Amino acid sequence: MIVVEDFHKTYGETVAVSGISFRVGPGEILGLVGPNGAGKTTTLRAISGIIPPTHGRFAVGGHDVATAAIEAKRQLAYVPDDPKLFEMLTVAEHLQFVAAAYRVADSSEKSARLIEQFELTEKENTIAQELSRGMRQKVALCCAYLHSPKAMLFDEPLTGLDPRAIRTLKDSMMRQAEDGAAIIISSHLLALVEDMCSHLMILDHGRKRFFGPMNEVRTAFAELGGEKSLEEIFFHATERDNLADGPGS
Amino acid sequence: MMHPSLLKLIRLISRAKVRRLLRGLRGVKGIVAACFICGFFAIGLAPVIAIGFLKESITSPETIRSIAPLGMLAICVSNLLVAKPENGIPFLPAEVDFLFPGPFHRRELLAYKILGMLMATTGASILFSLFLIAHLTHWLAGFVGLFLILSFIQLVQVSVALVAATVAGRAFTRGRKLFLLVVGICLVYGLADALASAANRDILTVIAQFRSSWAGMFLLAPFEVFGRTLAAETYVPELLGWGSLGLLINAGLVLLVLLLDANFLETSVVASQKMYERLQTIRRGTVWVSIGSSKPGRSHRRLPQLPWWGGAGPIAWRQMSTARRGARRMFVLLFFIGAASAVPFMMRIDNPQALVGAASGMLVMFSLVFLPQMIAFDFRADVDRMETLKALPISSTAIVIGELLTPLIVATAIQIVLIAAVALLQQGLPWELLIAVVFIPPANLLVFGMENLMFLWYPYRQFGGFSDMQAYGRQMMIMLLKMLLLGLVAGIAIGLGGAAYWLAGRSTMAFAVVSWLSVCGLSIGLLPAIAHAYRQFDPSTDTPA
Repeated sequence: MIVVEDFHKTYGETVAVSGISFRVGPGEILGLVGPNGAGKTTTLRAISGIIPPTHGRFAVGGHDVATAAIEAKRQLAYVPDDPKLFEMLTVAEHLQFVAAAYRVADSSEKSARLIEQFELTEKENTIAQELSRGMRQKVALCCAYLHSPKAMLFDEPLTGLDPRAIRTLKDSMMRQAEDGAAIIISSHLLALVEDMCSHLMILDHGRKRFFGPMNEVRTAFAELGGEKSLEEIFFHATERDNLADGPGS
Repeated sequence: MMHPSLLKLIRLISRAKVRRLLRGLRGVKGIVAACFICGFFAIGLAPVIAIGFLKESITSPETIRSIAPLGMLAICVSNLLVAKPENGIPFLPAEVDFLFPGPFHRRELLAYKILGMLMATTGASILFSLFLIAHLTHWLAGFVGLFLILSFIQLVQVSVALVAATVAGRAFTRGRKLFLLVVGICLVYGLADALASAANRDILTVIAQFRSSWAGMFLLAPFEVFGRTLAAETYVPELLGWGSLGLLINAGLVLLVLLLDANFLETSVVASQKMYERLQTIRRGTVWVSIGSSKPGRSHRRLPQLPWWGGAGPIAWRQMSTARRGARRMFVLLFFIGAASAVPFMMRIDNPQALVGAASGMLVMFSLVFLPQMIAFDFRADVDRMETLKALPISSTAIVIGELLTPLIVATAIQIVLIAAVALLQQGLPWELLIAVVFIPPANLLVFGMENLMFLWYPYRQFGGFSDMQAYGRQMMIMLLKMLLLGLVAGIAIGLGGAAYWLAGRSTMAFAVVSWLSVCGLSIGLLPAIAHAYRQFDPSTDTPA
């Protein structure tokens, strides 16, 4: 379970995120969409405890991120947009370290399974510096899955992945959700979001334009009429003329 | 205090560094690089170190005791001068991505950072103490002293970053200014006092007077311990006593850092991102643009477009525009290098012959060692753009000319400015240097041509990391080849010039003209070789990681 309450983030006079609240329950997948600079990455970074909020509260798996950071982080996996790896460590060594950090039991078995699942077997002993963008993304995903987190945050997770890896990632996300993990996916790929997510949040200029179950989004934007695509709803919600808090916020 | 997995990470990274070092020694390139490095150490450094161990120190311990605290003060003050609340403690981008969202306390991350820093400092201290062995009474004292000094400087830097993260930005800026003002007043007062009371203006006498003034004693008190450790003449009680005291001071700083427990993560994320972007730019070869980047939103004046010149014009224009963006910082650094080089000249200004000799030697070394590395506005800066270059409808020869034009012009301009500076000091231009001005452009074409030829044959990134063994070997190899090529070209030019001299009835003019034409011809003769190497370059396999 991920809980965000009244999250504000400002940098000097710039407002990055302005008072958003939401919760993602076990088994739910929330799609976080919004134009560049909407506050998506800031929100994910704040939930994962990397940056402190100017105001607000976060909880992961029932643990407050500010007061019980370690317990909260143990439940969490964060895969950033363009993950940076330790350039000189091999794929296997990355997994070794993550296993030690999260105290994963039977880590070698799990690592082997993930490496095979993401087709990294041949690259197991290759140093990160020599991996392609897609391979690096796969390593980051393996590291994220290794400790079976209860909450997962993905920032543009499909970047650089080949079709087979995209299928593997999608399947694994669905499986994690079925097993009770709360997942947030930040992406510009509206088709992916519509395809995978049970819930949707549209952010724009740090404000929440919509939050609710995916099947309610068209009802919320009924004024558009008919069966509008998510793309049309997105454009409508983030247009300059519609900057007042949208439906569902 | 530290999570076991962080210790494991340090172990893994240390092992990876050794592995990379050994990997760099594999294959023909690796073996050649290793031979060059071993040869360099055997011929260049080993005798210096051996003599240093066997002979007595060439610098008196009192001199070291005088200079070291002052140097530390200068470094700490300059660090404080550039300290900003947003500077943060830089972590590697991978550390940000893996450790910051990981199950670690902030103190554990700080302890990890400090341990990594101390390990790197140990290596640096061993190396520096060996280089400085001739100036040290005991190597062990030098090693311990340098280790404590370098650790102290870094710990102060971390403490300042944490204080900046703890207090509000305005309070930090005010506090910093107040502190610097106090230091400045003490410094001015102490120096004025020292200059007034010193028996002569010899720099060591002035420093000694400054140290004995109350302002000097006050300012240098925290650093004296380290100077005394570095210059310890006995193991017991000097090294043991002062070393232990220095260790205690550093331990106190470590404790302070851990107790501060400021939330440094956010500023570190920003600092790390900046560092990463800068490193990426350096890896792409555009070092000066990364250092001298302009503030966002500021408009740049554009250089006028060059003529087509068969396609060489636009290529050269692009490189010149890049060079222009980083010109300010580059010239500041060059100024400091020039100023540092001018010191020995000023000391020997009454000896014109020595001055010209030293200036010529310095110019040759500067042109062969520093400039080709600093002014890489050529193929080396285009390591990630080779595909784009190859897709252009421009002949390989034109591309080579376009790529070489900018470093050629910039290097020539810098060298001419240096020669002019020597002429100013000398109050006239000696004829040897006047001839050098004429020979500089073709010689530069040779030097930069050779650099680019080597790059296209054995592609590399300019900054491959500190454990990139092949990089060190490659640099030595390129240096040697440049020397050999220049020697060969000079030999041929002198031979042909000599023949012309005799054939024209002992005409010096004939000698100069034929020599110059020979150097030009041989330099231009390198262009087809570079063009061939460029055509052979396969971006899919030759682009380095």
